Amino acid sequence: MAFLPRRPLRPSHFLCIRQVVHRQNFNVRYLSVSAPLTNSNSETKSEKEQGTQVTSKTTHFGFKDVPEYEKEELVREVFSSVAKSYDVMNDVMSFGIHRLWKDHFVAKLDPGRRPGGEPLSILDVAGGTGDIAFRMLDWASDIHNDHQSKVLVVDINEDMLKEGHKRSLTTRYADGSRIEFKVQNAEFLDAVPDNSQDLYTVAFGIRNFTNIPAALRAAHRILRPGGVFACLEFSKVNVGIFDMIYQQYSFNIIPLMGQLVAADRDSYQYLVESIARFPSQKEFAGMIKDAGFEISGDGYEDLTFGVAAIHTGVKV
Amino acid sequence: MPATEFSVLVRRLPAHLSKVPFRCLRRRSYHSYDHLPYNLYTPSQEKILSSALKRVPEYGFVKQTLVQGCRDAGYLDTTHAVFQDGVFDLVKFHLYAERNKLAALKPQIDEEEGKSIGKRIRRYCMERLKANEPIISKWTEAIAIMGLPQNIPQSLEELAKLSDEIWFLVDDKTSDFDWYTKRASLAAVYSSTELYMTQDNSPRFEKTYEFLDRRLAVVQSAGYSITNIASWATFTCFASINLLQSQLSRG
Repeated sequence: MAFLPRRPLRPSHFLCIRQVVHRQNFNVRYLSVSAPLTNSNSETKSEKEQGTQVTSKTTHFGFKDVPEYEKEELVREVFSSVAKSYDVMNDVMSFGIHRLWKDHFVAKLDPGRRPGGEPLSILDVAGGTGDIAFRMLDWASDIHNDHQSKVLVVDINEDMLKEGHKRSLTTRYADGSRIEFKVQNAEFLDAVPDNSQDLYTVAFGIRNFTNIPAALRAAHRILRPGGVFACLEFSKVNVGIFDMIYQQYSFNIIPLMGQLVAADRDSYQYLVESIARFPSQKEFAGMIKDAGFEISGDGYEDLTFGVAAIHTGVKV
Repeated sequence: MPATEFSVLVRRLPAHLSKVPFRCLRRRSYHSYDHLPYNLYTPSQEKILSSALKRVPEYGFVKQTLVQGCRDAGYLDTTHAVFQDGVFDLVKFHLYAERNKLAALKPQIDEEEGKSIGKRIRRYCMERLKANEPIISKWTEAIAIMGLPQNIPQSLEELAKLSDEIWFLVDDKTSDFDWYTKRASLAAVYSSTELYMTQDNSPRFEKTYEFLDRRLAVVQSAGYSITNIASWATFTCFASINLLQSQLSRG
C-alpha cells in the first residue's frame, strides 16, 4: 500500500502555503505519471502552440492549477474515459446512496404539468447519461399524469450523451419526442434561447465547469421569470467525526476502487479532488445569489450530513 | 435568540469586565431602534407566500396551495421548488408575518388596556389568535407539519420568538432568571390555547378566549406561589447560614 498517502488528506492541507511542495509531489505522483489526462507532454505542446496564452488565467483541475483553456479538455478526457462504467462506479462508490439523492432531488422539484398549467420545458445540464432526465420524466408521467413535458439534456461530452441516448432507447421515451440530447457548453448554452425554460437542473456536474459564475449567468439567461435553478452537488460534510471518515474514504478508497473496478485510477483521483475543491454550501449559495437568483432561507438543503447538497434559486 | 442571552450574561459580569476593549465583550442592548428589522423574505417570496396563505382555507397546508400561490403571484408552477422546506415554509411565513403584525397594535393596546401587564398580555394573545381564525379549519395540518422531527427546532424557535415579542411589547425589562420563566410560561399558555382553538366550535371562538383567561390565571397564581416559595426559601437559607455562623463563632 505504499502508493497510498500516508496521512489523512484534507482540503485544508492543500490550502496552506507550507504544503505547496507536498501538494505538487502529490500531483506528480498521482496525476502526471502515466496519466492520460494531465501528462506533461500535452502541457508543453499546448504551451508551444498557444504561446501567449500561457500567461492567461488559471483554474483548478483537482488540486492542480491549469490554464483555463485546458481544463475543458481535461474534464472531457476524464468523462470520456469513465462514461461506460459511470453508473456502476457511482453505485459502488456511494453504496447506492446517489440514487436516493437523485430521487429526493426530483421529488423536491416535483416537476410536471398541473391542472390548468402548461407543460414544462426542463433543461438538464451536464446530464449526459440521463439519470436525472429519466427520473424527471417518470415523475411527471407517473405522479402528475403529464405526458407532454420535455427535457433537453445537454452535456459538453459526446461520449456521455451517447450513453444517455443508448439508455433512452430502452425506456418509454425511446421515440425522442420528450427527451433530446445536445452537445452544449454550460457556460454559453448557445442553442437555448433566452427566457425559454421552466427548470434548470444540474446534478453532480457544476464542479467540473471551468467558469462556474459564467454557467450560473447562462442559467439565469435561459430561465423564464419564475423559473428555478436547481443543483445537486457534492458539498462539505458538517459533522466533524463523519467528515474525518469521509475524507479518508474519498482519498484512499475511491481512487483504489476506480483502479479495481474501472481500471482508471486517475479519473477517480480527479473526482475526489474536484469534490474537495468545490466551495462550501454557504459560498455556493452566495455565488447563486451573485448570478441574480433569489434564494429562500439559506438556499440549500444538506443530504447525508452534507456529503451532497441541493441548492435552489429562482429568477424573478 | 443568542444575542439576547449573551447580553443578559454580559450584564451579570462584574462591572470592570464590561469596560474590556474587546467589542464582543461589551454590553450590548437587546433591541435596536435604529436599524430596520432584518427581513427574512424577499418581496417576491412574500407575494407568493401571502397569496398562497389566502388559498389555505380552500386546499389546506399542502403543496398544491404553494403552487397555486406561485400562480396567483404571477410566477410559474415550478417556482414552488425554491422553497427549501416546502409547505413548512408556508407555515413559517404565517407565524413570522402574524408575529410581526403585533408591533403595529402597540399604541392602540397601550391606550385601551392601560398599564396592567396581565391585561395587555391577554390582549396580545387574543390578537394573535384572531389572526388564526381564517385558517383555523386547516391549522391542525400545520401543527402536524410543525411536529415533524426535522421541523421541531424551528417551530419551537418561532414559538419562543412570539412569546418574547409579546413580553417585549408589554415593556418587560427583566434581566434575571424570570426572563426565561416568563417566556416559557407564556409560550405554554399560547400553544395550549391555540390547540384548544382548533377544536372550538363556539360562535366567535368565545370558548377559546375563556380558555385563555383560565390559563393565564393559573400561570399568574402559579407565578405568585413560585415567587412566595422562592422568597421563603431564600429567607430560610440565609437564616440558617446566619445561625450556623453565629454558632460557629461562639465555638
